Amino acid sequence: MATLKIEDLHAQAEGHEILKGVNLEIKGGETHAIMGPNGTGKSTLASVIMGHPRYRVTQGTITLDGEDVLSMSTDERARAGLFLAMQSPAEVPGVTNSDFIKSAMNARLPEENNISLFKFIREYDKAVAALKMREDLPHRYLNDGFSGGEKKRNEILQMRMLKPTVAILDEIDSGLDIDALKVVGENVTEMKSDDLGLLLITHYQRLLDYISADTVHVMMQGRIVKSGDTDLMKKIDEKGYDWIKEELGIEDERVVPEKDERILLEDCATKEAFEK
Amino acid sequence: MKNPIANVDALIQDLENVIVVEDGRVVRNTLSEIAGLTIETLDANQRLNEDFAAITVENEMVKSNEKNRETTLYFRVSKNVRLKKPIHLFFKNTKSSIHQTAVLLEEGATLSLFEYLYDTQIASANYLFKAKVSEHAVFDYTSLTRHHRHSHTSLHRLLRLGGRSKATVQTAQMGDDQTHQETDMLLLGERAQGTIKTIALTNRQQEAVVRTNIDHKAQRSEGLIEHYGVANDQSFLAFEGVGRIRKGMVQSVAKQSNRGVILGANARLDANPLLYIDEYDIEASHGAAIGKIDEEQLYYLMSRGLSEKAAQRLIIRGFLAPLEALMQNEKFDKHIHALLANKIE
Repeated sequence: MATLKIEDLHAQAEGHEILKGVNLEIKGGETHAIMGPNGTGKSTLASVIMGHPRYRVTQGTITLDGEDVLSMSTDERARAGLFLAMQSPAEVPGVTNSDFIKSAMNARLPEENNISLFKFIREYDKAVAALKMREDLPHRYLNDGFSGGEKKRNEILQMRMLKPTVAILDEIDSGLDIDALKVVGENVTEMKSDDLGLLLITHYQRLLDYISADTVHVMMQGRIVKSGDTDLMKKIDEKGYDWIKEELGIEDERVVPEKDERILLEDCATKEAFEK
Repeated sequence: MKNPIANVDALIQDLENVIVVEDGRVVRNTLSEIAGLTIETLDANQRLNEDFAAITVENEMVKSNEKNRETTLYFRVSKNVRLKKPIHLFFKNTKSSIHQTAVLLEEGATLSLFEYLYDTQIASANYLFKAKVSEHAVFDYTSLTRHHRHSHTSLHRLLRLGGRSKATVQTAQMGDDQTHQETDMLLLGERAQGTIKTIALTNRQQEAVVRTNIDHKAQRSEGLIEHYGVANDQSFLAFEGVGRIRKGMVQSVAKQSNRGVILGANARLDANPLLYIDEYDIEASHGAAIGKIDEEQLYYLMSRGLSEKAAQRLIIRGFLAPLEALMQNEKFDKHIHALLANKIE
């Protein structure tokens, strides 16, 4: 049973502090949800946990079963058991989905030891069917020309294949229609076990209808300002966030400037140019 | 690198229709008699017929090859003979060489030719390839080159296309050598179609210049140039592509694209796409996109557990995917990836 522990985490991007003291502990078997309005640092937290090069941690610790996560490179974090289903995963033309995921699985095995091709294909086909994706998925290029929903389902498919011990789903519900959300919800729920700690990041309570969470955290101004159980969830669903702001005397909940967030959501300009 | 020189022998073992030329001498030939295919080896004193003498460009290395070449390998595919299986040529140099390969496809003939040029130690190479692709003929040519890092190589490939013929040239420069490579294609007959795709990878202090010319001397002719490059370490790589449409060559199409990844902090990659157009009724485009490896792609792959090197390799491999013809055979695929790993490690 893995434990991810985040203590007093501060992080900045380009000199601008976004996370201002996050504390959170996720154990195997638990499902946590972080909710909150736009620009409060939710996705930044996910990216910092995974080690995105854009962010710099200035204070605090992240540990996985006592091991210092912050001293690990992104790939070491993944091999240690962390997984991040990204909000806008990169497109990699020329690299097929199956080559990619096979390489990722082999990276977890000792050198010179490869996963059996037969076993891989069987598992992959099963995952493709479970997520109701196109049968030619293994031969398609990684996220290249995928619809928003396909990208999200592909993230969950990778999670199925890689079997992490702690998985963070960053706005997995955005851009999904109800049918796709149902498929994603069923798949994630099916994966739940004592060996998996889950962190869901979402704007809306809607996702939690499909993946139930034990604990809900509200994030504002770069830290968790309120935690609770399903009652808190219901209250947010009914009343929104304003009552929390009032209660805590918060006027502006944002930490990510709006223009900054746009860059976060879109592919960067150089990549766009490269595609053409 | 896990000695790919040894792997070449393994590669040869598994292939059909193989000719191995070592220092200009044919040391192995597994081709059985094929009707309509003539193969000749010519020594320094023998010359090809005038058809080939006319195929030339103004260039010192070409001139020197014409004058001083030691050996010539000549292929002729007779009229309307369609050879289905590819012929595999291996040129192994243990010392410096001046060699020429000439291919004549008669009307309606089809040929698929693969060649692998390599050396086993420091050696200079002056290689000249000529092809005359007659009317309605179809020629597929794939070339892989790999030479020692202290070797100097000069490779010229000259192709002349007749009416409604089609030629596809795919070359991969995987060596560590100081090299100058030039492909010169003339579209001489109406509706001739020529495609030239090149990948080049450079590392350490290597310098490589790749020049590609397609000259439209016929109406409704089509020329496509694609350059893909990766420059690592302190190396220098230059792509110079020229599409030229002469006056009156209406409804011709000239397209060119250059894509490159600069891996090394001190590497340089230049792309100079040029179009010379002297006719209004045509279609032409050119472009270049050179940059560092995409950081978001790298992060994404690493977030699934791939090491930085493995992620880079996968991205580069994907980047080179358009040259799939080289990768079709599983053995080749493996071999090329071993070479690739060597270049970007």
